[in-house]
Amino acid sequence: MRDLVLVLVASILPGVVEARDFTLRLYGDVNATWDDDTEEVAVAPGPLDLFARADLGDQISLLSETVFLPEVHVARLFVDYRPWQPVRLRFGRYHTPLGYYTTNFPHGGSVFRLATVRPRLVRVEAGEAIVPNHLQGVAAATELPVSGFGVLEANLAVGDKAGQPGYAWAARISARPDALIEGLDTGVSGFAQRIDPALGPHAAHGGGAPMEDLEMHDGAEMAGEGEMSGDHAHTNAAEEIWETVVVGHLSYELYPVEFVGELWYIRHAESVSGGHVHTVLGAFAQLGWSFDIYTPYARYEQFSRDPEDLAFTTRGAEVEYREVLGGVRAALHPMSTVKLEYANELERAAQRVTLQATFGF
Amino acid sequence: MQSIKYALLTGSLLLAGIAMRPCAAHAGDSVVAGHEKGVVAGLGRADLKKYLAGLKRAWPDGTPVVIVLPPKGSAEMAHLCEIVGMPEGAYRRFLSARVFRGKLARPAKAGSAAETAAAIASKPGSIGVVATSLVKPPIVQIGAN
Repeated sequence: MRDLVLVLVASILPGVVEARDFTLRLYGDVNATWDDDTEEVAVAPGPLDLFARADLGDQISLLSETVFLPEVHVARLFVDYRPWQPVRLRFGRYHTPLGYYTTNFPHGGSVFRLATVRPRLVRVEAGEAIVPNHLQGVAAATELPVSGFGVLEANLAVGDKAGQPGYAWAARISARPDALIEGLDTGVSGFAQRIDPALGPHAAHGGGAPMEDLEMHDGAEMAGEGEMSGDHAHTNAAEEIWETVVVGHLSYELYPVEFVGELWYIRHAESVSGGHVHTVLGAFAQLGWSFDIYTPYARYEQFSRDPEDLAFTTRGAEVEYREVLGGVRAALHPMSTVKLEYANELERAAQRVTLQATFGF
Repeated sequence: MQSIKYALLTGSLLLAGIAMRPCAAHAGDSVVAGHEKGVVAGLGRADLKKYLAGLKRAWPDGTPVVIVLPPKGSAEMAHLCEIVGMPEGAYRRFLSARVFRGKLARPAKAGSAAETAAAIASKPGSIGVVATSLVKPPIVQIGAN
């Protein structure tokens, strides 16, 4: 990863100097959260996000997004090349084209989000990522206008996963039927990769902490490094896990409505004779409706996963998760919002109220 | 439970204190115009909206779309807001979000009507709303006023 970043930075710096259009932004937020565990208000800044984009010409642009969590995390860093209309190629580190939310609501841009936090399924700040949010490699996209319908878009990405063996593949096909319903985007995505549990299951999904910083869940040892106990005992024999993901999405973004809904199916198959198959089924839907600068919103999310799924044993993702939240976003300025939100994590019966101020400049 | 009510009440009062800002009314004689190179004339309102909202990133000949934003609160900006169907603040945030997603080049911002026209004239593929009196080559009208 470090090599990739260095090569990219070295190759794009001369171009940035000559760039005819350069954008540099800093995004961030500050949160005051009251929760019924502590019954106290905690004030804390969210991640800072340094965003840069440069157009080097009609065909090449560069984009980088570095998030300070407070650890420095390169969220996106890629060269976008358009060899011919309408094909786009991306080289570098980018968000996996899986579903809608992952690629359309990058990490630090809380000023552009409805809720104070991303849905848990696609959250990268939460310790353990549920889904693969990042890839580093090559991605291609093309758009095909269809007369009397709208636009069909296809994405194909292949990349490596932070030390995991082989390559990960992602593909997404989506439709924007502008001629029928303007603002609608719907599609299906797929993802496949091989996970070596001995190298750190699902570390590659988060992209936050480096491998060596991962904490073991319940004191369990990695497969192949010793005896495991309890629920994880069967995973000793697993040499690798094949992960396949299928996502369906439906979004509608046309003022004054913002809606995103996604349905996720994740399958982890252990590659041993009679190996176990574990699945995760999850979904979320959020809706906001703007009245000038005020946007009331609501979101419901839930997923369940197998507690014996080795791909989640290192960082403690929830087994059952249901959350409902609602709030109001007030846009003080195009680049500054204030949100007041109530959330209830139903499985734990944990409530919280958050007041969030977001900014970008 | 009492605490959660206080937290919600305090936050609500804070939000309610933020004044509603009305969108400026569209007044004045302006048209959607663009640089003669790249743009397509005679577009209907639906197509104009797609280009001005950054939903179409290139003209049919491949020239990238460059959105030129008129001054804040101006009659030209009100006209633009009317076409895209959003209040000015929501429109600006919408464009910023698309830039952040990596789906749009940063729009050019003009400080006056003359600057808007100059920005459009300086770059092929540019599109914006300008006063009718400023439409002269290389600026061409591409939509109805």
